Amino acid sequence: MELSRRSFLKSALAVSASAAFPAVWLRAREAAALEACEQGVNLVIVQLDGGNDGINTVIPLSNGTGLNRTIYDSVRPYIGVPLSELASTQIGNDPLHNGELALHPHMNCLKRLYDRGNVAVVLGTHYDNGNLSHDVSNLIWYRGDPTLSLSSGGWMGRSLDQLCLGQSNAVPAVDVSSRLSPLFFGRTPTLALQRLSDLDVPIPIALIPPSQSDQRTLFRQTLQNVYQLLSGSESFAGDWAIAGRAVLSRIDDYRTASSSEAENLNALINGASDHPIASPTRQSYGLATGLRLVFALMRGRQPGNVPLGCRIFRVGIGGFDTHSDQGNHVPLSEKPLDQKVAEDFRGELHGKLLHRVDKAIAAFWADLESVGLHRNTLIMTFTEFGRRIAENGDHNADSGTDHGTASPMFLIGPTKAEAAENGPFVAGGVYGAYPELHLPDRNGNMVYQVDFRHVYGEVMHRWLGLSIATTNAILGSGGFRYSPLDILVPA
Amino acid sequence: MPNIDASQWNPDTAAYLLLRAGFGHDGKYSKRYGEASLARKLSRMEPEAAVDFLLNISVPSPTPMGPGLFTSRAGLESLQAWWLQRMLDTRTAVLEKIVLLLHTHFATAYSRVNKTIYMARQNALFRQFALGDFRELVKQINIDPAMLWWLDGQYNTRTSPNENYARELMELFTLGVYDFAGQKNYSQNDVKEAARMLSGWRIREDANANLVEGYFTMSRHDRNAKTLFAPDPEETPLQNPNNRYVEPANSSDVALATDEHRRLIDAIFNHRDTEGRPTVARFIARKAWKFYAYDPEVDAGTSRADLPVIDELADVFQQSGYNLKALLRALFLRQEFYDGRGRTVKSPVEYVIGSIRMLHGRRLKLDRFTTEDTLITLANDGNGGRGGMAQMGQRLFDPPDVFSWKGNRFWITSHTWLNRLEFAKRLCWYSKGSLSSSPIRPNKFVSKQDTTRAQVVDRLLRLLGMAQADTETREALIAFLGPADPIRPLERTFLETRVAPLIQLMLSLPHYQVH
Repeated sequence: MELSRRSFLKSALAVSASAAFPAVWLRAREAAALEACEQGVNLVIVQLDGGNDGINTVIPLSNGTGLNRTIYDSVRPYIGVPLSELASTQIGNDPLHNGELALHPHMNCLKRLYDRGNVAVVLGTHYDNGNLSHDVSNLIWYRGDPTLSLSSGGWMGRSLDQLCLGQSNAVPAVDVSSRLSPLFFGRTPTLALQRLSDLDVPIPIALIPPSQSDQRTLFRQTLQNVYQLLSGSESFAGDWAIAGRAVLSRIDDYRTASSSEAENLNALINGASDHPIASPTRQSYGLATGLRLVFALMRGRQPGNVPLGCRIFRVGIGGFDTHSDQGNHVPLSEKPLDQKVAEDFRGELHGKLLHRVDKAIAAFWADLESVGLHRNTLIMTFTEFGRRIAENGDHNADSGTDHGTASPMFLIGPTKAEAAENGPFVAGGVYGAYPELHLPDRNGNMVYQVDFRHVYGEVMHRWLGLSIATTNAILGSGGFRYSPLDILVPA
Repeated sequence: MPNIDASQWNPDTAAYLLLRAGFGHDGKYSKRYGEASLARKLSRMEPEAAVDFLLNISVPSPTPMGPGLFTSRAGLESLQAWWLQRMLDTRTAVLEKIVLLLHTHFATAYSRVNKTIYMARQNALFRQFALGDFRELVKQINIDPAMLWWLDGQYNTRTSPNENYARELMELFTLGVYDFAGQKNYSQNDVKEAARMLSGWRIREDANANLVEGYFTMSRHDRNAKTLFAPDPEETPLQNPNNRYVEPANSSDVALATDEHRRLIDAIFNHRDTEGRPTVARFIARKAWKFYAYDPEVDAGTSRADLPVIDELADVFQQSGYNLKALLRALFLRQEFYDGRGRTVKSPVEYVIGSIRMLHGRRLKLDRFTTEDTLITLANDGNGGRGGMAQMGQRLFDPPDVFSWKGNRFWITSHTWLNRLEFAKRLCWYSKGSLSSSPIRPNKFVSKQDTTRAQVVDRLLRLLGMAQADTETREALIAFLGPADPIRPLERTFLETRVAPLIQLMLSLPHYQVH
């Protein structure tokens, strides 16, 4: 059993210890660790699906001792963002060549969080022999296994199997999707849902009348018993049983959330007017809506609210496969943001996507702050690959970028001052190294700088409290060994 | 032990063949063959004769083409309902099933194409070649309007080559990125060269002539020489030298240039992997094995699992001139095909269509459940946004992306779980006090001679292909029917509150989600 799980699932333990958790959990050593961090930790994984253009997300401002800005200007004459637009979103320098860097101008909210110390940018993350297929590369990121030789489970699914060992009723994760992401594949039940109202086990129509309550109970019990019976089976029927059991064991929590709580959640998901970052189009942003649901699920565990026991979430946003019409940046002095929003960022496809990511995450962070949940919540972004260094086509509005390799990851979490007492926190700043744009591989792609598994390892070991041995067992294909990046500081 | 032994050929194995080759035993057949079900009829033949009986389809497939589909207002819904109706009603379910495989394989999505007539035309193309020449089908797919639109073929020109289709053609439709020895089948350069060979095709349509087609424009075509499958020291150093194909420069011969995309397909089909095996035949044989039987990699964790079976199928496929009927015939006769029970998760289409067909006993009136409106609802979100195939993860004519529906583990989520249970509820639904209003009729699944709960449960387990369920599950189902025997099988309360909910319960169990 994993002994260093520390704070994980703390409040789930508090609400249902007698039913769901074996006594071994309450050994003195663990209990002490659990108390050390009052609230436990949450993790929200944000996936930028399609391959995000990292070079236009974190943009070189100057060369330093390298050549990145010079190359940037020469190979991206249309989609490149001019220097004059980047002054207000400058972040720390490239650790390798000391060139200055800036976030895309539409990422001003993340820039504010960066200045407060909440954001770590990890440059140049990818893996050996970057695969240019969306499908294969996504699989590599989902499994945390560039060789695709380890278990077919996902890196998070396998982590959850360790974190929830012995807790047969734990449902620790929610994928905000109708399709469960392979990163959750494992033996631990994970909910995939887009709306809370989705959850309602269909009862036979004939058993609805009050006179049939015994048979109704029997229906539900038979269902539950057979699912319990099969969920140990290493087969697809067993996988199906696990999925069903996740709902059957949690559904009453959701349903007894009572109508008022459901209304409360719906109001949270739909409401925007009272929000600190009110945006006219917010509700149409899938990512913002998804993060709002995550917030509702997390908040459900607050005192007085319903304990849902979910701590790990994934939310995705698609559209990053910008082969064409990637667009150029219209200076904000020529066209203010409101107008861009009203025009749906016409001619600025990638800028629109970054705007949405930026505003959705910032709004989510503000939501968390409003109830103190930012103290123990970490956001991690990833994408299956970055894009080609040079823009394609005839350097006009049709131009885009083809499949590439490295791209930056973002970790957003509490600073030391904000973190829960004795809880882990983020040391904001720029990490890794900006790939040297003048030294591409033979496909015109960047040479990556940081194995992305170090970032996963950082989250698994320093945030979720898995041991280094377990972390390496999950990520260690091809002889990989996690070495701390010191982005996250453990409790 | 290559082929199924005659001694193992019985109504159970025949029923399994019907389940996998089509959508399961169908009550409608019973009428046609008298009291004996089709499974029993097949089981009395030799296995080869039974398989040939299913595969030798003489009636031409109807096509979904019609002038009505040309209008810009024609939604996808009518096409979806048309296909579901075919799946439900047809006596040639084998054909509908392989069309589903081809649709899954050449995954093209309405969400990008946005033209119902293009999707209909592609479906008609699948029907034309479903039991025929796969190589010719790929050649037709090259210039299929829906595909030209879906993967940007129409924008692939001399001055602005687009690799999108060329890459997926090799990665997903024919070769696969890696061979079974883990070596790359082609390089990035091959993708570029193939894209150039494919350049110059566009789409034209004429509603008056009921015509949609791809057409060739010489001025958009790249006329320079191309070389395919030359060894590449960094990516494919082990490329078989015989794979190399050179298309000479062609400055003026339009007919020759028009056929260039066909020569590309011939070159791809001539490809041998680093083990000297026919790459396309292996790739397609494995895909068919995964679709009809099971995915060997799931249990074994290696793509080489079951390779001897796949190679034998691949040989049959190649030697038949890539004839899909020959491939299916060999596949359905394998002993291993019948050994793999419960190793594949039913797709939503298989789940929904199979359930309706299997419970669609003789003389039952499902018509009110399978009107066009209901089928449209069923193909999409379902009533009130729940219980439809799209909510189960499979919207026909609209796969999520070119990688298609991935199947098995990917069908299983709490969301899809709830929607399958909701469908089961819909199917067992009836108006209060009027059992005859239900799409299914519980009284058809009991016999007035039944005295024990086990008799009812066992009959339904057989009917639904769940006969191999564990004893504990069986016991739990028996207990659900009541505390003790004997039963009064035709009593209304028993049928309403025990048998109908039992059927819903069984459609909701893990055992029923796999086959």
